[in-house]
Amino acid sequence: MSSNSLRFAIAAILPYALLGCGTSVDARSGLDQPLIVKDASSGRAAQFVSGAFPASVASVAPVTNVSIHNLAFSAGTVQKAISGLAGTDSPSVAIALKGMGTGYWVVPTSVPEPAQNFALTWGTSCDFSRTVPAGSYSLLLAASNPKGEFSPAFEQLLKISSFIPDGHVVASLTWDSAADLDLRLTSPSGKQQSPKHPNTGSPYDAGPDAGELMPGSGLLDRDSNASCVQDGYRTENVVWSDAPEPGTYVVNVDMFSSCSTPAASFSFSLYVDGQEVVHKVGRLLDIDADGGGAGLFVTEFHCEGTGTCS
Amino acid sequence: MNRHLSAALAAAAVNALIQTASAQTTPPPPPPPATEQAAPAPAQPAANAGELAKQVEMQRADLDEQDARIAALERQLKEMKKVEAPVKTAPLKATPGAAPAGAATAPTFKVLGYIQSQYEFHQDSEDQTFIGGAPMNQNRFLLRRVRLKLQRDWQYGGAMVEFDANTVKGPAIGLQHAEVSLAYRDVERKPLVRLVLGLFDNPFGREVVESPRARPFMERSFASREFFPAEPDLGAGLMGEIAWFRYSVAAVNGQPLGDRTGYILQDPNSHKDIVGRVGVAVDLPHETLITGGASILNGKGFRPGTDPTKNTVAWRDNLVENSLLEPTELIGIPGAAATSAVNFKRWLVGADLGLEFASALGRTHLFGELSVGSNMDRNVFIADPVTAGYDIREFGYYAEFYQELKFARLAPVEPIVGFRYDFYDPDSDVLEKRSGRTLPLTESVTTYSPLIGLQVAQHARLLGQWDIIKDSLARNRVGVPVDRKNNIVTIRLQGEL
Repeated sequence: MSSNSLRFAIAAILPYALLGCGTSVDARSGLDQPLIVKDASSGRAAQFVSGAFPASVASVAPVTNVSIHNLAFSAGTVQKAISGLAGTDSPSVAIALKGMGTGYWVVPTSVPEPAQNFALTWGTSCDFSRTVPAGSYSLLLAASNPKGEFSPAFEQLLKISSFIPDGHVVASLTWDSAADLDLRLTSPSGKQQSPKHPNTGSPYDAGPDAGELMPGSGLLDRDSNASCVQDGYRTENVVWSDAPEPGTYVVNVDMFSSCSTPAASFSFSLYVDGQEVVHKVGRLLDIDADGGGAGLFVTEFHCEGTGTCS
Repeated sequence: MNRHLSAALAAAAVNALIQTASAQTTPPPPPPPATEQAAPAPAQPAANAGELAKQVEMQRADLDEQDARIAALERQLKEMKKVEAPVKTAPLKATPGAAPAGAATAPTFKVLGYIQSQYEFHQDSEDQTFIGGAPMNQNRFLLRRVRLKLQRDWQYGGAMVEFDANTVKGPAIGLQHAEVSLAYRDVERKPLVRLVLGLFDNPFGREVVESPRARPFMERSFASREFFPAEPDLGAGLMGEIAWFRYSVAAVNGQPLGDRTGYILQDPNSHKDIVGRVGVAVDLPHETLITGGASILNGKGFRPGTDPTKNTVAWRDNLVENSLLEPTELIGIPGAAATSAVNFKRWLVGADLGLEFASALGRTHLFGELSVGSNMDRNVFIADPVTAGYDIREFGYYAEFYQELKFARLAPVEPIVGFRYDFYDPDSDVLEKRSGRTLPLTESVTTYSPLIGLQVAQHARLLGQWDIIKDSLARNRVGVPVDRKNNIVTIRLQGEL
């Protein structure tokens, strides 16, 4: 190619290259982030911006009057309302979970609040991913000014518990499809737990605690995807708040219905005080759907009287 | 044949000359004897006379043979004339509406088709799924169009059915066109008037009726796709062409193929949309074609109602927000009566202009089209004036150019280059509350589309198109709507079946 041809090609392509770049924003969905934010005033997703949280400029008016109902909640919590005020000229607020994720969210401010010297209001609806590990986190909030500078971050401490329910011992089943799977445990005393009988123990028949479960009973927290009604959890847990009944437990997984899916891969985990001590994986095919049978044997685990299981 | 004729004529001439000579010199000879018996040898004069008689007999035999050959040649000539006779008796110029020779008895049947297979790169693709499960990733190979058309035309009508297969949203096969028509055609079989019933393209503007097979750009302009998510709709139409004049008018259901308001190829209201175009197509010397027209659509859209609801109890974890059911977080939601469906007026007007000409470089194509509408968006920015409380005003236009380059060294391969600029504003009146103020918000989308490729006319095309899309779908750090990085690069290979 001659130099003239090369120049012509560059001249032809350069304008388009400039058009293609410019001030465009790389608008990722942010669905892979531990915190997902929506603008409460418009109902639309806020803008996710990749990169570090904006550097602070001391002269910019900060975020104030932050409102969060409950500072302790579990991972997987959805639509948590977080709102507040920003400066009278602040066009937006940046939000992030400190040390988590790969960027931050930008929410535009909305109407002024006359009772607060016409400071601008903002509101969000926040989803916290199920994968956020249990722990304490700082929620960073910073207001911008029209120049695009951000205030020093307001830090709100949050205590996030694991998506796995709180309990001394938790047997947890998760799977990957729309199928209706059921966790079935057989206790050392032979009691069979299932969605219809959600306890591993038996209640007292008489006495002052009649109807109450005997110590060492585990309780099923939900029947996920029951009758193929999709609830999005695809997780079932049996939770012991104290030491389980000692002995050997048999773990089965039953495919009640395939719900028109060809297969379901599942994993079973046993947690003791938040530590995973047993982990098994398996797969059920649609031909295994039986409408409530014994299910596939997965594993056994043994619990001591002291509350330790393995 | 000429050689035989010459021989015949020569023989005839010789025969005539001999007969003339015989008449002048001798009386008609007596018939030859059945057998040639040697006469008794006379004296010298008698011997000469005998020799002459012998020569005459030989010449007569030659003449008889030539007569037989001429008769045979004349028979051949007659037979040849019989064969050529119908050609000579056919009318030299048919009158409009009259059947061309053999037309009424020989309807045309065509099987046509093409495949457009492509790779797309979308700048905003992610390896995630939308809520509902649709994939966000658009960086992929796909079959954009696999079309098969069966068409049968005769002098006074025709029928056509076209199927489309694609993998845009997974493998799918469907009906693209199905129409039956009555027509009154001119000598060139162009329909002076044509009545069509079935599933046919909305006769609006230039792009909607242009075949995707012929269009070098990957898709129609954004505005056109918003007004007509796909080209065909069910209805009845009257259309035709008289010399340079073009006209078409149709009554259609108003829910075209691809409609995203929920009633594809159905008709939730009894009103029919009236859509039509009048235009010109003027052929000028040097393969120059000027086209232009004005289009209009007038109809009624449909906003469905809602079903009645029962009383329900709902839990909203919005007071304590501890993921536990608190009595104060239980609320009763009273049942509500159904709401009725509502019709709303919608209209669209448009104008289009085109110029195509040939030059030493090859064939040049220039087109432009403009559309102004109200409550017409049926695709991405669906117009719902009932909810908005005002009529949604839409505006769109495009200008495009493409050049088919001819280089003798490359023939029959032709490079092709082009560029299209298109603009669409789905709502000229949208507002947003931001920073304590109510501000106008532009939802307009501008697309710059350079195009480059190679083609072998009527056989195959390899095209690359870069769609540089400028919109306001993202926000910058201070919350101001700005352009989202969502440009598209498409490489397409098209082949004819």
